Amino acid sequence: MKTLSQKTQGLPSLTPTMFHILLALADREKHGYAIMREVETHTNGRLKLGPGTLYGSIKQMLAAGLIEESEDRPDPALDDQRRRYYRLTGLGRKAASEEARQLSHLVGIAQSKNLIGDLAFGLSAL
Amino acid sequence: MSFNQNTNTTWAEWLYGLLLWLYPNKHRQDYGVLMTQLFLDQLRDARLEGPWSVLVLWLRTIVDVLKSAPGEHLKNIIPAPNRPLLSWRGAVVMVLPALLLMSPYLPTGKGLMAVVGLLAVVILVATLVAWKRTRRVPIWGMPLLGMVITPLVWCLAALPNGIISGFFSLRSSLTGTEQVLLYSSLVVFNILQVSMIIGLFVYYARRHVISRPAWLMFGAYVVGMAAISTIRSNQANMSISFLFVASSSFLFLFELLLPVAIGLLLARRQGLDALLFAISGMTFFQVSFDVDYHFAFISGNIPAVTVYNIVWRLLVFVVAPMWMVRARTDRSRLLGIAGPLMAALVIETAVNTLIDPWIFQVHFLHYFMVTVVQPPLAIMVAFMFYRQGGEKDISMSGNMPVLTSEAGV
Repeated sequence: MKTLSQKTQGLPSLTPTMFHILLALADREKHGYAIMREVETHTNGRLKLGPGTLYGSIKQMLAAGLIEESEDRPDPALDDQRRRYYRLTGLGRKAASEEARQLSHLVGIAQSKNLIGDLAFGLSAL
Repeated sequence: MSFNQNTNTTWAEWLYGLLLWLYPNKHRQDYGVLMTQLFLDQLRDARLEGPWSVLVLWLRTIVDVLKSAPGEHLKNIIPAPNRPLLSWRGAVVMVLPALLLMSPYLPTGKGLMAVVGLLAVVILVATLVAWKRTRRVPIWGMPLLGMVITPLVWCLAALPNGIISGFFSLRSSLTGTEQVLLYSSLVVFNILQVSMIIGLFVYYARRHVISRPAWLMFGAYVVGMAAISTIRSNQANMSISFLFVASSSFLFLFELLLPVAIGLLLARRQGLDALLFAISGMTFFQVSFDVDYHFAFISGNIPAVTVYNIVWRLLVFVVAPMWMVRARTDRSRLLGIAGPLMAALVIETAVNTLIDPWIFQVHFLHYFMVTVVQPPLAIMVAFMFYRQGGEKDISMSGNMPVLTSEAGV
C-alpha cells in the first residue's frame, strides 16, 4: 500500500516485495538469482521469492522507473551472459529511503509504546 | 553433473516450461528464459539439500505461478495509465463502422443501405479484378464481401414476405416443410456472414493482435448472450426454437464482429477499439429492443420512434466510444462506457413501465440478466480489447496488407 509520504511526494507505490528488491540492489547491481538469495538472507529465509513473483515485481519496477537494466557486467569469468543485471535508479533510491524512513519512524513509535523492548535484542533474536 | 541430474534438469525445465504457459504471451517472451534460469538455480540449490527440499521447491513454485500468473493477466485487462490518447481523426474513423450499422435505423435507412451495398459490389468487382491480375486477394475486399450480404439480409428482412419478417408474421400459418425451408435459409445466410468475419479474425489471430484472455472473455460473452436468448425464447417446440435462437445468435455475432473487422482495416491500430462500442451498442440493442418494439407497436408514432432510436444509438455508438478513447483517466473511461448503458436501462425501465407495467413483471428474468450480467461483461471485454488495441500495431502502415491465395481465403 502506498504510504502517505509517498503519496504527497509523488513517489511510486511500493509493495513489500518491491522494497526488499530495492534493498537488495542498494549496494550494487545484481541479477535475479542474486536478488532472490539476498532477500532470503535479509529475511532469515522467511521470504523466498519465486520466479513469477520476482520477475513480476521487476517488470513493474522497470515500468515505474525504480530500477533499470545495467550494462555493466562483472568479470567475464564470473559472468553468465544469459543473466540480466539490474540496478537502482535515482527515483528507486529515493523511494527506498523514504520507505525506510517511514518504517524507522514506525519502529520508534512501537518502541515508545513498549511493543518492542530492546531493539538491539529484538533484532538479534530474529 | 551426473547423467541423472542432467535428465532431471531437462524434465524440470520442460515441466516449468509448461507452467509458463499460464502467463500472458508477452510476459513469457520477455521473462520466460530468465524465470526458467532462476527456477533451475533454485532447483540446483534444493538438490544439494535433499529430495524433501526439491519437493518443497516444486510446491512453492506451483503456488508462485498460480499466484502471479493471474496478476499478469489482470495487468493486461486494466488499461495502461500512460496509454497515448487517440487523435480526434482516429476516433472519428473508429466510429465509422458502427455508423454503418446504424444506417438501417435512419429514416432513409433502406436507401442508404442500398447505396452501401452498391458501392460494396463495385469495390468487390475491383477486388476480384485485383485477384485475377495478381493472384492475391486484397484484405479490404473481405469486409465488403460481408457488406454485400448484410444489406441483402436487411432487404429480405424488410420485405413483407422476406425471410426474417416472414418468420415473425407468417410462422403461425407456415406448414412444417415451409418452416424447415425458412429456418434453413436463415441459417445459411447467417453462416455465410459469419464465415466472412471468421476468416478475417483468423487472419488477425495469426498476427497475434488479439490476446487469449480477450478471446476467452469474448467467447464467454457470446455464450452468455446465447443463454439469455434461449431462456427468453420460451417456445413450445424446443428444437425449432433452438435452431432459431442459434441462428439468431450467429446473426448477432456477425453484427458484433463486423464493425471490428472493418474497424481493424480502417483505423489500423485503433481498430480493435471498435469492439468496445460495438459491444456496448449491441448490449444496448438487447436492452432497447423491447422498448423500440413496444413503443412502435403501441404508439404507432414512427417519427418519435426514429428519433428515439437515433438519439440513443448516437449516444452509445458515437459519444460513448469517443468519450472513452479520449478520456485521460480510468474513471472517465468507465463512465464513458457505463454511463450510456445505465442511462439506457433507466430509460427502458421507465418507458416500459409507462407503456405497460405487465411487460416488466413478465420479463423480470430478462431484465435481471440484462441489468446484472450484460453490462459488466461488456465492459470487461471492451477494456481487454481496448488495452490490446492500444498496445499492438498490426503494422499496416504504408501498403494495405494482402492475403495470398495460400492463406486460406
